[in-house]
Amino acid sequence: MPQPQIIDVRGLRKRFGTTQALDGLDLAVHEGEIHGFIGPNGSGKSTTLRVLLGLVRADAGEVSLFGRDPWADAVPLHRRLAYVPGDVALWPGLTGGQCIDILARAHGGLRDDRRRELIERFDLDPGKRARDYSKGNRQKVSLVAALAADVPLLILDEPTAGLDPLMERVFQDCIRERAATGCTVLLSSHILAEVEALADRVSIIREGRTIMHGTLDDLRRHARTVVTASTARRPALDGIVGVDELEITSRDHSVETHCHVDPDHLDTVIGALHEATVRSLTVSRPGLDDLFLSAYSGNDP
Amino acid sequence: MNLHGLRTLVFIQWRTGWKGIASWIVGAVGMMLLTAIAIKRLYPDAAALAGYAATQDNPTSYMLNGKIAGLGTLGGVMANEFSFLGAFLFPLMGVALVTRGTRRDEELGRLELLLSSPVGRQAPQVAAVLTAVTVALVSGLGCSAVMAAYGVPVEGALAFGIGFAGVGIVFAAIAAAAAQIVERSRAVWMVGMGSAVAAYVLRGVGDVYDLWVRWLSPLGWADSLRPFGALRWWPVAVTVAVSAAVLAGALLLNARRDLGDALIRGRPASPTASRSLLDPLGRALILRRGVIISWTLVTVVLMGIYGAFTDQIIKAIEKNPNLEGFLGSGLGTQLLERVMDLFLMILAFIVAGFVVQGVLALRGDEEQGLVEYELAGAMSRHRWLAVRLLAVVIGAVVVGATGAAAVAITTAMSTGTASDVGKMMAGSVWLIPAIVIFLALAAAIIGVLPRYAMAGWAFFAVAILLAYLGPGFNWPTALVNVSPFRAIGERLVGGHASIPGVTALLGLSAVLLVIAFAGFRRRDVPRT
Ligand SMILES: Nc1ncnc2c1ncn2[C@@H]1O[C@H](COP(=O)(O)OP(=O)(O)O)[C@@H](O)[C@H]1O
Ligand SMILES: [Mg+2]
Repeated sequence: MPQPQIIDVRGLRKRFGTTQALDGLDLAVHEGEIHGFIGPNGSGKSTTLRVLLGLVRADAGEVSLFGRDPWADAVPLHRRLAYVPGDVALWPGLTGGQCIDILARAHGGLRDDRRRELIERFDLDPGKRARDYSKGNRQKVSLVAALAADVPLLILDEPTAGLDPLMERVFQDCIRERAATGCTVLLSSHILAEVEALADRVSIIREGRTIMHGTLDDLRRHARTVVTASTARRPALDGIVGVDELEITSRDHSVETHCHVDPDHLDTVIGALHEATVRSLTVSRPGLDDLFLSAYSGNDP
Repeated sequence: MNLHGLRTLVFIQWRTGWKGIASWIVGAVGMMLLTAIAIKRLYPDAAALAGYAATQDNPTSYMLNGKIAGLGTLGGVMANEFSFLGAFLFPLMGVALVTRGTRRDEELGRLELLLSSPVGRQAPQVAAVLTAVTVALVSGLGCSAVMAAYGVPVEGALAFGIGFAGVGIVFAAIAAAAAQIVERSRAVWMVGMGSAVAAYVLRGVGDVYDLWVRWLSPLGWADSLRPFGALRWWPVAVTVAVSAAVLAGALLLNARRDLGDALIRGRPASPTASRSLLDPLGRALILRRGVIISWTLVTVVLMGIYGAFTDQIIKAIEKNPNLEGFLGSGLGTQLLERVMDLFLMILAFIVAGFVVQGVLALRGDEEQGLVEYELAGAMSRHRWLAVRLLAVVIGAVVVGATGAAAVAITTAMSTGTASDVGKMMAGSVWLIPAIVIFLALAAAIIGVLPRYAMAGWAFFAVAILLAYLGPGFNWPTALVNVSPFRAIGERLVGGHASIPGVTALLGLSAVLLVIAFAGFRRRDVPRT
């Protein structure tokens, strides 16, 4: 069943002077999901979010937010979302609480009960001036303002940079609670673990282009499984499709085999190992870290 | 006292701040050069110098320029002409250079970073003061060199330069102390500017009434060297002693406080936003309240001083018709009105400066990411820009109206004619087009080419230069009238504003505002 799309970006391009910040980026976010938007520093995450907010105008490509053009209809669209910018700036002379009220008002209103609850959960002192806050505390102000707003979409640009692990947990709980009420969340990050813990689906970008997208299981399925085996005879694995980085070493009376296997061909490989009499066997699912490292280093897995 | 790493810090100051450092030196020496050139031309011989001195031997001049010893000499005339400018340039130089390396770096967290490396606790402060002292000395001695090159006796020129360098140094020490006492670099600036105004007024009052209060003013110490009269050097010791004492106090305070702390902390603040803070216009005004108040105070004081001396200025000019040249000749009964016009032009400079600063401050907001944040809310770009410009306009009305009232009332008190208040207030209305054009121009820069925010200040400086110096240098009228301050007409009091000029300025402003709004709607935010 095709879910309605809150965000639909196709072939997005944006150049700043000599930097091609976005180079044909695609992004689709369905209603009600938490979508992880992952890429290394400088890959174009913030620029994409700014295009979605109508702050930056795309050179080419199609962008729709709630089915409308964010550049032309910025104001009505902004009533339906809250944004946490990456480099959080606040009014240095105002208190955290004042900043929260102002920002939440800008996001179209604030629920008082939620404000109180969030300030407590994030352990924030709202009476302190913004200039006296640490980066983490400024981030909390920004998060409280966004989470307290009654909106159907949250756009968060690396929101946990500067939060300690405890606060990161609070953040995750809050996001899950908001998602449970049907709120859609677009969460950009360069930290895998955070996205892994929260996201329903992810898009991975590099150098302004989407290189993978789908559910985490989808992505895992595309990654190769690592097989390590010890057999009595040499297995007939040479030349089999879907096997990669094959290493076979003979030792006294046994043969050690190590290889990466495409999930679709796992069956064939296990068969061949079986033929050679298996003494020990490990099959490990790919870690997402491997997935990202291979994605970032440019080898399509 | 721990000064570890001082050399590195001084290097960092010069490496990161050389542009500012160079412009202070070039500014001070350049203005001295312009002064010297003009005086050489206007007063080529001893008779002309003596004639000039005769016009300046009155309380007005004492108030504005101090009582200069040896006024009839070439050096004395140059000193008299440079006095007003130098009285503010050197203090601001000291304050700017020290604030930059102390409270501002602290505010921005740079000091924390530096102090985490093997750098002594007092080293940044001392590095900033050393930088300021060096720049003040180089600027002062540069002025000496210019004077000497134009034929002023070397010893006098040297004393003059050292006198002003000393003023810069005292204010550097004052800023270093203020940076320990108040929490924000803006507050350090306010303390510095306030002290500069106080020093100026005290010196003036002391010289007019021959009172001891001139000894409370660093400017008084500089004057008391009497570079072009009976030269004496011992007042340098006063400057050195006071600077050293203030600096020692600053170092002591610094050693006793935490990083980021201050002797005087801000008011306790509310954890919730008031209704007016939630309103975009209210917020813009509240956040700039301090700026508006300080501009208003400085404007009222300055314009009040001008007005209070109207009568003396008129008498001085009547005694010496040479001076009329600047205002136009053969004025007779119109002389008073021309003097009023001159005051109004200075008021226009100030309010235009306020406007340029207010609009270009939007650039700072953008660099900090605040504009992006606000525009991600449900406010259109047009409304955002309109609100922020409106806040500047409201501030300008406050500064301008109180400044106009101050100068009108004090002028009327000085002339003893109550109806002069109305006359001057009515004349001040004609300043509006000359100020609006700067609002529109700065807005257009923000809307289209935010990276070139400094161009707004460049236009402002050129406009002042043309309007203020152009007539004195006999530059072509067509050129001088390009300056908005002249384009509105020179005879505002009495209702002779230039209607074509006013129309052109308003038309151009409208065009620039359209460009500003259209450009701001179309461009990326933030744009670097
Ligand atoms: N306003 C801008 N002007 C010039 N270059 C920019 C601007 N914004 C972003 N860039 C460049 O575009 C690229 C993508 O930046 P960004 O979207 O901030 O990446 P990310 O958020 O993924 O770290 C970077 O190379 C960055 O330097
Ligand atoms: Mg970013």
